[in-house]
Amino acid sequence: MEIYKYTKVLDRVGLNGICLEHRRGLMFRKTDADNRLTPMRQLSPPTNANETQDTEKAPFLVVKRVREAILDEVFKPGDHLGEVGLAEKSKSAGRPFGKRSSPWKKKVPSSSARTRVRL
Amino acid sequence: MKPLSAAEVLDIAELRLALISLALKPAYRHLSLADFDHAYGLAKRLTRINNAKDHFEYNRQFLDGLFSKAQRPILHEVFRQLGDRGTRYEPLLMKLFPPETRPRQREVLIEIYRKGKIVEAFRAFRKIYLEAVDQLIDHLKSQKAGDSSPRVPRGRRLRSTVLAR
Repeated sequence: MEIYKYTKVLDRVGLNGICLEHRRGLMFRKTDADNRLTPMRQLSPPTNANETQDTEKAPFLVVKRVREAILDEVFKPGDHLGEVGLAEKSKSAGRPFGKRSSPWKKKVPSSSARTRVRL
Repeated sequence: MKPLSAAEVLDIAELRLALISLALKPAYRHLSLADFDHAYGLAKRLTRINNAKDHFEYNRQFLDGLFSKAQRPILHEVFRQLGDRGTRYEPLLMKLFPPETRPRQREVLIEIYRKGKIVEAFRAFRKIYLEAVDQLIDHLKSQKAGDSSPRVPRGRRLRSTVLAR
């Protein structure tokens, strides 16, 4: 039955419509309104989800805090801003986690390392 | 944090002007009357604000509106970076230009720009903006001259004390 439908559809529509029509056939839609050609996957409307995620990330928050401190004159031009001090003030890790501990990093012995061969 | 410098102010000002001039023309066709009204409202508010943080935020909003309409993402990004670099100067600008004497370059820009006179608008903006920048540079230079009082360099001072002994 499905094969019949599929071949019928092939006769009716061009190659571009194959998937859509075949999909329609399998979905058993009832009304004519539902039977109209629809794209396989409708693109979701653009959202600013990524943007909001980015702005909530630690580096952005730190930048924001530092900027606010500069504007409030907590940090003044010419002051020394050390990594440790900044990390403490902004309550964040001083450096990206990946650099501090990298459990996934493969340990490769350097070429100059001595190796003892036991016979 | 880097200290303030007159050379940096000039560099930032020139680059900002260049970027604004590049964004004004493409932005105009995408700006609606409501956008102009909003921008003008922000410009007016910017002349009245006395807080560096708010001034920075509203100024960014004002210029973001312009650059987003220009649809030139690279210009926008570079402009934002310049804005970040100019953050250090905001508190000084607030002190140097209180609301009574603050230059109104943004208001003037929007007033002329909304009529479609893009070149004239930019020219008027640049004139007022550069006057403010000149004042800022003069202030920084005078501050630097005040700070660098005639002191004997360290090495020489040591040598002179040794010779005195």
